[in-house]
Parts: sequence; structure tokens; C-alpha cells
Amino acid sequence: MTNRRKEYSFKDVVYKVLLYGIVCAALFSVLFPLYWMFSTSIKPPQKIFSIPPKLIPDEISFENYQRLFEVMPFLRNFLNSLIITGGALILGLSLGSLAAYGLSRYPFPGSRYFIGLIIVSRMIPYVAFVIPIFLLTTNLNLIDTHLGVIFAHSIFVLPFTIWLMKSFFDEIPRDIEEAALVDGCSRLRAMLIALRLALPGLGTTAILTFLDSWNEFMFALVITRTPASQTVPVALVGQLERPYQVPWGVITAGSFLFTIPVLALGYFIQKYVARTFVLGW
Amino acid sequence: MARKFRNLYLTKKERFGIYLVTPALIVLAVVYIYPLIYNVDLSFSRWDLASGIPKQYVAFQNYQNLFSSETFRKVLYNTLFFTLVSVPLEFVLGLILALMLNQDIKGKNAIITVLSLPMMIAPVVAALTWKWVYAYDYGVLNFLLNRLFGMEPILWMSDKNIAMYSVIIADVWITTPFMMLILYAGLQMIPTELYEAAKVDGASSWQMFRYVTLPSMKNVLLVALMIRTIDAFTKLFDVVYVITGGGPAYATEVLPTYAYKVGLKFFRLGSGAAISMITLLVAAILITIMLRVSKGGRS
Repeated sequence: MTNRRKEYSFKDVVYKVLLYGIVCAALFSVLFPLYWMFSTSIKPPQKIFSIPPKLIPDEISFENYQRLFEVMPFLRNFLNSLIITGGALILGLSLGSLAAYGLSRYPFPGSRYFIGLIIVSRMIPYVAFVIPIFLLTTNLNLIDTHLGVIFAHSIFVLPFTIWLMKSFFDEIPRDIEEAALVDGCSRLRAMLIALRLALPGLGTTAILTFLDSWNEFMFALVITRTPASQTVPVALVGQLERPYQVPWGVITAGSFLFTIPVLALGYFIQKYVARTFVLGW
Repeated sequence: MARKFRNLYLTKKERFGIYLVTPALIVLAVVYIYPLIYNVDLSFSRWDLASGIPKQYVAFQNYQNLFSSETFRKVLYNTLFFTLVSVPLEFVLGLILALMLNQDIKGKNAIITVLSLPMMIAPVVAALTWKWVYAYDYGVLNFLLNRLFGMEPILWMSDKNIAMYSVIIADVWITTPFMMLILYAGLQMIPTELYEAAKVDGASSWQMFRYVTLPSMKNVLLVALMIRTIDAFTKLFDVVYVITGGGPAYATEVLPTYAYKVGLKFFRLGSGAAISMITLLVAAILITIMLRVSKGGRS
């Protein structure tokens, strides 16, 4: 390689320093709180409450992770989160994809208003649902059940799935389905063909709705009561109400374990996120 | 006349579309449309679960009580204050980061991944993390400020003059990545020819930003600002609930947390529903403005 030495002007140097200065400051502000959470979780419990706090743990221990399963029914909470998110996902993706396909391919009188409603619904404050959903789940005997939270999560999962899947169906050319219909395929068969082509879109939708439902707090807080149905966010926040001392070792350990699936999925969809946000507008 | 009647009959295709939408529509009717209507009904009723008084219709009584209540006015003011401080702050930070990403920097994809983390993780986890950072004795923030600047420890969460700023910092941390990503996407959509043309004309970088970047991004900027304004005014819940619980003395109470507290902690269902209806009304006004603006910008 014949790398010629570049001549940097003073202006270039200032520009570079400023640019990478911003990069470093941004990375630090994002990573430091997360580092602090993680490093707390791997400190021995008795060293968490040292004054002054230790920036770098001088001793690594996994005792907090052990205590997490003793102090809290963490496994149960994690399973609850999985069941609720899985249920909301299955309900949302199946019904949402059907509706999205219908809206994309077989518009009917009034379907435009339906689409408009779906778009607006994503901006409606969820707090407007909280009290009636509480009363509804109580009346249907769904309080403190997985199904109750799954229904509540459908409030945002279903419109989001319909909106996103419709945009994916709209991008798929209709020729293939039309050819299949001409060849005598039923409409359902043609729909399956389109669904197969939209599989990458379905995957993206599944991941984004997974994150929404997994991270949700308010509805889960209102509907769940006991460890039988409490999700991880509700259970972790519940630890704040412990008498004497808040068990920060347990909370930070639980937060970290709960975030692992998010990090894994987030990595996959990283390049879709910006696109998805822009898509709607 | 005949034609008008024909319109009532749907074609087979249209009927198939309706069949496909029906299952989703039924679920939405139960979990979405019915609760919204029920909420309107509740907001005109008095129903205190705690005292056992049965539900009764009181027209606008709940709304009148709210607007004459000092606490509710404080909550409204807090929500407005939070929105007016946090949205411009995250907007400026997001714009700086988006402009930075638009430059030629090394490891850009890794940087984007790391900077989007606060948006991906659960708001509750982010809020718990900040609550731990803000802790008075054991908190790392007081420690760092003391070591670096010799500052006295601050009661981040229980000083009524400071608590709101602590909530704002945590929320800006969570939401700035959204601004960054959406503005970065907007920057990338600007055709490079525009910059080349400006360069030929001898424009400085500030002039390029002012006369090329800003006008081309006008629509994206407005939509991003409006989305975040709606969210900040009507959806702030997890962060406040975890970090301050609305305290001290309602210093950080905002519309969504107050609606929850009045409705499902004090069990004054009607009053809580009325607060959430006011929140909904504000959202509706903002959404209408946004749809107008984005439509106007598009044509």
C-alpha cells in the first residue's frame, strides 16, 4: 500500500476532534447507566451499598443472580412474560395479517376509514383504556390471568400489526396471485402465496410487536395481582416496595436477564427500525 | 335509483375483504372500541369503589371538579412543563446526533446499534437504572459530580424543585434515539445533487445546512416533533411511576400517572376516566394538527 501522508488543515483537525468528541460523549451517556446497572448486578450483595460507590467492582460474584430466584419467583415471572408476549403475538399476527391482506387486496366500502382509524389509533394515549379495561377484565373474570393481559396488549399489538403488514403486502406485486387465481386457485390459496412472499415482513412485524409487548408495563400492572400472572417489569418494580432496603442487586440482575432477549432481537432488526418509523409517514 | 340500490350489494371480492377483516374487527370492538366508549360514559359518572357508592350519572361534574382543583391544575402544568422542556432538548440532541451520523465516521453501524439501546430496552428497566443512578448515598451520579466538580450531593428524586428535571433527564435518555433515527433517515433522503450544486455555488457548511438541509427536512422535522409532543404530553407513565411515583407532593405528577392514581389507586373511577378523557382530547387536537401539517407539507 502506498499511503501518502495527508495534509490536514487546522479546520479539518477541529472538525475531526469535534465529530469524534460528540461520538464519544453520546456513547458514554448511553453506555454508562447501562454499565452501572450491569456492574451492580455482578458485585457481591454486601458491597453494593458501599459509600462511596465503587466504579469498578473489585470482586465479581453471581450471588445476586442466585438470590434473584430465591427472593422473587423470577422464573415464574419470566415465563409469564413469555406466555403473554407469545399469546399477544399469535393473536395479533394471525388476525392482523388476515385483516391487512384484506385491506391491501380486497378493499370494500368503508375500508379507507378503517385504515385511517388504524393509523390514528397508534397515537391514542393508552391511559384512556386503563380504567375500562380494568373493569372489563374484572367482569369477565380475567383479572390476574395471562389472557386478560393478552387482550389488553391487543389494544396496541393488533392495530400495529395491521398497519405494518398492510404496508408489506402493498409492496408485493399482485401478478403472482392474479396468475394463480386465473389458474383456478382459490382466493385462500392465493393469499397463502402472498403470505409466503411477505414472510420477511412478518418476521420484522413479529420482532417489533414482541418488543412492544415484552416491555409493556401499565396494563400488566393493572391486570396482574399475584406471581401467577405478574410479568417481569411488574415484579421488578414491586421489589421497590420492600421494607428496610430495596434489593438493588436483585433488581439489577433481573433487569439484565430480562433485557437479554431484547438485545438479541434488537440486533436483528436494527436496520429495519429506522425504515419502519419512516414508513408510516 | 337502480344504481343506488346496486351499491348496497357488495361484489364477491368486497365480501371476501370483509370476511378477512371481521375477526380483527371483533377483537378490536371488544378491547378497543367498547372500552373507549365505556370510558366516555364513566367520565360522566360518579363511581367510588372505595366508599361503595354505586355508579350514578353526574354529567360534567367530574370535569368541573377537576378544573377547580388545584392539584389537577398542577398536574396540567407539570405535563406542559415536561413537554416543553423534554421535547426541544431531545430534538436538539437527536438532530446533532443525526448530523453526526450523516458524516463520514468509522464503525457507523455499531455506533447506531449502541445509541439505539435506550429505545430498545424496557422503559421500566431504563427507569430502574436511572433510579439507581440517582440514589442519594449509594448513587453513582452524586459520586461522580462530587469527584469531578466537588458538588454537594443532590436529592435527585425527593427535592421538589429537582425531581422533575430528573424525570426529564431519564426520559430524554430514552427517547433521543427515536429522534436521532428518524432525523437520520430524513437526512439520507436528501438527494446529494443538492449539496453538490450548493458546493459549486460556493456555499459554506452553515449555508448548506440552513438552505439545503433544513428546507429539505422540513416535513420530517415537523412530524418527528409532533409525534414526540403527543407522546410526551399523553404517554409519560413508566418513568414517573418508577422514579418518583409522581411525588414529592405531586411535583412530578403528569396526566397519565394522575389518571391511573385517581382511578385505580383512590378508586374514584369517574374522576380518573375524566382525566384520561382530557388527555385523549389533548392528543386528538395534536393529532389533527399533525395530520394537517404533514398533509400540507406533502402536497
